[in-house]
Amino acid sequence: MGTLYTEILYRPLFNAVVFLYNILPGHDFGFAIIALTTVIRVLFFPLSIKTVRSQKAMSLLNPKLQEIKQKFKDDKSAQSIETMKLYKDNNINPLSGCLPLLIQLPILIALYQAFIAGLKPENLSMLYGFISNPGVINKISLGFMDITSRIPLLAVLAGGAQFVQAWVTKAQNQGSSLSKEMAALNSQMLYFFPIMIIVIGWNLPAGLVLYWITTTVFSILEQLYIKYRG
Amino acid sequence: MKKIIIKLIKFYKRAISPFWAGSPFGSFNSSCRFYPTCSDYAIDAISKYGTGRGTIKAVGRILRCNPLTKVGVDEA
Repeated sequence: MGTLYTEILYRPLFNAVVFLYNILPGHDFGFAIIALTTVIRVLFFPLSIKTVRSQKAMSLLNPKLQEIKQKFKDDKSAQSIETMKLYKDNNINPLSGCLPLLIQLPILIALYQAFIAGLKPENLSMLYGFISNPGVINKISLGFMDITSRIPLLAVLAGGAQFVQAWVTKAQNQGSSLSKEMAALNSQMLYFFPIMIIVIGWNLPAGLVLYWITTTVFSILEQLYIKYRG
Repeated sequence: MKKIIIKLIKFYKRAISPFWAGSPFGSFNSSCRFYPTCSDYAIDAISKYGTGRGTIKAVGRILRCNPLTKVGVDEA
């Protein structure tokens, strides 16, 4: 299991980030992190867009959903069963499901590890033969940011980005057929999650926070794309 | 063993699962496609079939829980 994880996730990602470091102008590891994160999010894009699109189709079913809620007011499981039946009858897939979420966990952990590993010269022996060894990775990004150090300002930026993302999601949800608990959860996320990100990010190396900012900005753009073009 | 695994799943359900909605990878529709949810299904399956077969059934269910399958009721 460990070898499998190393060989199919961690090592390829590590090689990818060093490769990007080699080819990107300026040999900036910060840029390499941003670039690799973007590539991965682009690969996931078709999946995310598919699920959010069917959300639109869902809103058409809203009256029927309300009807079900009224009818089975006191029986939560009957409510869920009827709702699922309604989706099935109308051939709608509103929820992305558990697999896409859980699959992201190992990828996420491997990415984190690859970013940290890239900064230690001894790990460069993990490189494949066809990736040239840069010798030493330059830790300074944009000429002033040591990405191995803690940069609280970046953590605050990550929290800010998270807030915007939660806000965009919330705005998009309005008028959709979300359950009351889900809506309440969303409002909690709006304030709680950004603060949590700042607290965690405060103590993480700036390179990882940079990754977090990139992936959050991508999520925001994805939501906006669907809102205006999808 | 059985009890520990069920406790772990319940912990996941209560403490971790709600955070998916706010994570950068998730969005508001990041949730289970079936009734009962994958966590509840896993608890049912493990109570019913034991740790070994129950876990295999639960993993199979999670693999099915993706945008390509049809939503619906699917009990352990």
